[in-house]
Amino acid sequence: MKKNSESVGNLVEGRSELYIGLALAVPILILYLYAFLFGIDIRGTWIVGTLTTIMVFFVGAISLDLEVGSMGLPNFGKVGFFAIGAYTSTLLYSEWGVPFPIAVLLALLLSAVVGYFISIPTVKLRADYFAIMTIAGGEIIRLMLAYEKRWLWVLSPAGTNTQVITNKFKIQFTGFFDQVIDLTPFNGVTILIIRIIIIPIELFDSLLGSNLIPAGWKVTDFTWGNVFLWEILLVGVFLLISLLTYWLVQQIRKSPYGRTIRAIREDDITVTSVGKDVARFRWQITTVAALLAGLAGVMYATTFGAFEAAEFRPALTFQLYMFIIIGGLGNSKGAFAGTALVTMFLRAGQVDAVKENFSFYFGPDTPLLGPILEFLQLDVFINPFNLRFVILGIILVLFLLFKPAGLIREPKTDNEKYLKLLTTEEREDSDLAVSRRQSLTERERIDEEDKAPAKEGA
Amino acid sequence: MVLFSFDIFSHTGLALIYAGTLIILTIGLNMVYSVLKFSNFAHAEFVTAGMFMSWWVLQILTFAIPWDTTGEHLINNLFIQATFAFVMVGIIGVLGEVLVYGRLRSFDASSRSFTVASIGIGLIIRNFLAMIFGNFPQHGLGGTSTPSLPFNLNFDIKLQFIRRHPIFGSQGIFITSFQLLIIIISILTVVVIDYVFKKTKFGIAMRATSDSFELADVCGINTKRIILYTWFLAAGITGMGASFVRATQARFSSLDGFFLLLPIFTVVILGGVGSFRGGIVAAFIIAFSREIALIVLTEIQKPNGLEDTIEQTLGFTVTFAPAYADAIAFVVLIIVLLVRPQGIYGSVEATRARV
Repeated sequence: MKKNSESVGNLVEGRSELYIGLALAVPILILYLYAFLFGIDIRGTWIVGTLTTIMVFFVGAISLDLEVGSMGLPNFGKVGFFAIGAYTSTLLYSEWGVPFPIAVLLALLLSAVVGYFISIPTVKLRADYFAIMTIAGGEIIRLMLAYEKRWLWVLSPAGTNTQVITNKFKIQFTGFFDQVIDLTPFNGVTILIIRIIIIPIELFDSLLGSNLIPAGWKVTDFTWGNVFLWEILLVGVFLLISLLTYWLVQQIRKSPYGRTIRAIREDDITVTSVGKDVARFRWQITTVAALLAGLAGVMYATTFGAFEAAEFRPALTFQLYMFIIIGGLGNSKGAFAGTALVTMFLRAGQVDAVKENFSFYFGPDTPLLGPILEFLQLDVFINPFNLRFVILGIILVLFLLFKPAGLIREPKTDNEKYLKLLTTEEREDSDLAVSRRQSLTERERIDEEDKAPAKEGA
Repeated sequence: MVLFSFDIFSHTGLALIYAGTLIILTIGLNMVYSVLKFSNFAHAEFVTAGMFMSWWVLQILTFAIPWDTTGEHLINNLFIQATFAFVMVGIIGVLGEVLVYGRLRSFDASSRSFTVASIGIGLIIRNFLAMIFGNFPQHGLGGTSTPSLPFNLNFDIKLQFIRRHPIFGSQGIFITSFQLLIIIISILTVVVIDYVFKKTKFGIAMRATSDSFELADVCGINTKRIILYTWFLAAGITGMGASFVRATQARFSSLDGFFLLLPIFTVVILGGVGSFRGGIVAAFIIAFSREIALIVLTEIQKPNGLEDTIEQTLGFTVTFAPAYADAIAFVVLIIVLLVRPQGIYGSVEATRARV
């Protein structure tokens, strides 16, 4: 009976997660599809760009999730390690001629070393102080990268020193695999699918008289465009890297080591009392996370080619936080779900067709509100560029309020393996203790503990 | 040969203005930090909102009141702007508490949840303001004018004393009456808030709430109402301060608040969480160390300065960019957190229970 109700409870919970996931994913996918159909000419490249961006930020999000979700250290300076990875690999390879694999290894090593030295003094701090300290550390790294002219600025083609760093890896990589892959054979199949998609939009257009579908756009206009072979190879390599990262983090989480760090997150004093060196676990995880963030930085540099220090502001860290909070803390699948959804949403908002069709202007000329707006001196311009961040902020807050576990919740530790080692009597005792502990609230439990000796006395 | 030809008076003026800015913007964060115990990153957006609100009321009044000699003091009036910003930003703070933070508190969320929620709220406020008022200053709307005052206190001592002084340069104290007023108001606000916190019943209730919600509840304090008042005061004072800051600047943008966030945090932590007088001392330390760093770095970078000397003697360049002065606040922050996490006057236990 009890078991039955439990499973029903699980089912209902699983369903609500499914519904929330769908409610979030379907509009984003529709928006992305809309941008893909009507806003983009070089569609193959755009898809490839989305995939690579998702994978770059996925590695970054996993690295943050390992630290925040599993370890409970709110690191707000992740972007600093991104920057170290990106700068080191790019400068070593493009400016100093170090072979790319060695440059990447050195970049990873450097970010791990910096992570280690930063973590040694900081892991002792209280969580909110740790947050502020890491954000300050990230800003210091950014300022140094921005202004250290001699070592970190490069000569631009115009002959002047510039802050903008160019990663030449993609360009040189292109030389080997520059066959153009024509995607036109796929057009016929895709057009059939698009016809089905477009009918509701046309209906919507004719009903409301809006112009969501640009004038003169025909289904047959759809082309995939061309993709370079190296672009596909890059996606493959990135996929391999992110799968490896995923596997590594899963191994850490599944191992006894992972259980210990989760225990530290829940209650570090108890863990200390059973003889674990909590500070050691903290700096180890921080160093591993720094290394992974450096890897994400290398991927960032390779993907975006040219970049400068101003891109590595705390806003990037905040974006990573959005990914993992929406996806679900302490679990890599959640990190992927969050990263994919938010990245697609942000990318779709940048497309011109979306910008034009989803912008609204309310000024003094607006029919009803006009006089009020004129009195208030307001020109309200609802534009996707800002609107997408407002929506993201609202989604983030809603998740924190109503679904703190995120889209995909952290898997519970499987204790059965260890409970099997107990005798039946010990097992019953432990079951009883656990069920009693779970059924009572904190206050009731304290009351009960207070009552227990009194009963014995009576 | 003059070794240092920097302009000590104008640098002092700049440092004083920066210190005044930090003092008044710090109070709100300090209140929230000490009573509610989480780092509120949305504070940056309270600053931005204050700037926009004070600018907005200027626009409304310009439109509503005919601009002639009688209306001038009414239209571009610092106190009207400050009051409007106080009320509007205070309402934003209360809304944040009612809609988000209060609910989070009701199910005992961790302080990390609060911080991430404050990031989300900050994102909403900043982009919402940008949608309503436009992305300053990209759209060419950023020009502001100094509010008119019925009196003029400009210090014009440069003509008499130090015009051709061999060491101190050619400028006088570059500080207008308006900026002086802001520094005075900042310090006065701190004194008032400190008094309220220490002596009045409301302040005592606030401190009791900050010690323990449950104990305060048991003692008959309406903690929910106290928290709402805290948010209104904290956000409101920040908005008021931001309206002053906007008036001293030539232009402002929706990112200004964010750039001030870390210096503000530094001042709170250096002064000690919960100590408003510590905030004054810390603000002066931060402002003056920034200004001194700026002077020193500029001197080093000059031709035949230390940077050139190093390059000639040692053969490699080390850059001492004046922009590194911005990092001074962060360096101070890190040193304080490592050496004395409770700050100058604070008594809060900042480090973890040592493990």
